[in-house]
Amino acid sequence: MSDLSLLIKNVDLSFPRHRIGIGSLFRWLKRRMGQDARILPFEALKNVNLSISKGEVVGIIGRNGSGKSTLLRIMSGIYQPDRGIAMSSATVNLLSNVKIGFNGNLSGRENVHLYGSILGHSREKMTAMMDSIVSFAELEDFIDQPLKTYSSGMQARLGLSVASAVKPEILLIDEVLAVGDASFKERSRHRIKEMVDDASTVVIVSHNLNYLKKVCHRLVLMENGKIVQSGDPEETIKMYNELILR
Amino acid sequence: MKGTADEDLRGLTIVNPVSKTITAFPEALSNFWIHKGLIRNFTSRDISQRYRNSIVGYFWTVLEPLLLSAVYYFLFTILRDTTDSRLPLWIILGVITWQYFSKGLNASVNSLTGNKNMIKQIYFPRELFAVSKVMAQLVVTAMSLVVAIPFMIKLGIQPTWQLLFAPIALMLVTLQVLGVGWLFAVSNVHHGDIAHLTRFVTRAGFFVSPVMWQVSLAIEKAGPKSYYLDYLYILNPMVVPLELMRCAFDGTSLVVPNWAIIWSVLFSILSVYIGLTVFKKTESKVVKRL
Repeated sequence: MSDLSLLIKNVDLSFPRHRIGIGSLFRWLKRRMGQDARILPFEALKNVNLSISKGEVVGIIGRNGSGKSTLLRIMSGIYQPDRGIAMSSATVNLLSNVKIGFNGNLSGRENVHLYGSILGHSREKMTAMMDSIVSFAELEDFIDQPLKTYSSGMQARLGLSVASAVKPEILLIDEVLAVGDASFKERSRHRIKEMVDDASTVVIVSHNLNYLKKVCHRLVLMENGKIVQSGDPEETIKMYNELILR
Repeated sequence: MKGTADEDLRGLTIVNPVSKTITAFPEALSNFWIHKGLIRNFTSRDISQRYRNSIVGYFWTVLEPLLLSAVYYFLFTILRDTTDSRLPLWIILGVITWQYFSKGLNASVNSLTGNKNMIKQIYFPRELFAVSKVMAQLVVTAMSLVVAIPFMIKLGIQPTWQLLFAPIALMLVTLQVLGVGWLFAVSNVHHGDIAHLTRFVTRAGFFVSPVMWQVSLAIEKAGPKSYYLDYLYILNPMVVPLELMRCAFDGTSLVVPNWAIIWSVLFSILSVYIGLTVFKKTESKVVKRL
């Protein structure tokens, strides 16, 4: 068996550029008549190679728009690469800061079931874990209220609680550690540390360099859709700082 | 950096591989089975939140077609003085079946654009959005068919074995709605016109389908040898399901020719095959555009 958990090989991904406005027929006619130039697609990832071993905790840093989130989406299967290949050894769970699968009219409990089924867990499994999920999110008093009555912090806490409750083999985290108050942040860090100790593979995208330095074995620096550095956290952070100041 | 050059790939699988044209359809079908729990959850979520905060709750499933049919019935009796006593039953069955088609199609056409946020945050087969929407609509439709019972009692119609036509009709509509829905859902991401077009088709189609009228009436008006009706059968795949539904409940025999029934079945199966294959093949490009 391979000791790899995730493998990204020669991956390219480009997005079609959107044109603002309505009525593409007129634009098309204009282009036909040579009045309007064709817009080239945006290359979000250019020949990205990355392999992550089992149990490794990897942080991805880089400026806004450098392709960090796109890379996570490739890893979790949301985007299929234009070229190259993305492989994994187990199902990949992506935890992202935008509240997903959450329906405002349903209660917190129903939403946990819904989110659980999206993550591929059975109803029985979710019912069994319900208590621990609710207490981790500190939502005991609110769990049967409609989700729309929750504050944004509460919703984010519930999301993180569900996604991390199941102990996924591979967890991708996209800048969600900033949610909640200080005590919740502390506990979610603790939970990630638990997963690290359980030898789960964790990939974290964050701008919190101090935190990444503490938990990650390795940092990856991205710039303009390319991986420019991958290795020792201290060294990578130094390079990142140079990049920002340049 | 660990593992460069020739990695050991044993135990690794490709994340969400792009399907081949031939295998896309069977793969997607097996996905439905794998994700049956998810479909059930999405469906029940959809149904339960639809009637939340309402006083009469699920009674709306019956009330909505009933009220609509009442309006159509009076409109129709004013326009046409000779009426069959079975007309109210016919109209209500037509309205229920047509609403299933219209709401189901519009929901599946918007299934990608409407779930943009979820699609970008988590991966699961996106064809399931349309499936669960249509399933929810199917459950509502089945519930509203209860309304036919008092009409049948009033008219003294005994249920016959032809009642089996009803699930067949609903099945045909389901396949059409899903197949065309998947095809349109991916096109709708590229061109927002598709959703507008669908809304127009489902509204205009109401009049050119036997909802307020019956094929027997059309035959009567056009004469038995008219070939206009053949065009109707070919161009409008909803004619057969609507007529099947009517015959299922009133026990009369079908006036639609056999070839039209075969065509309708064929159309339904083909649309699902083509719709799902195109959906799976274009999915990766479409998601990037969302």
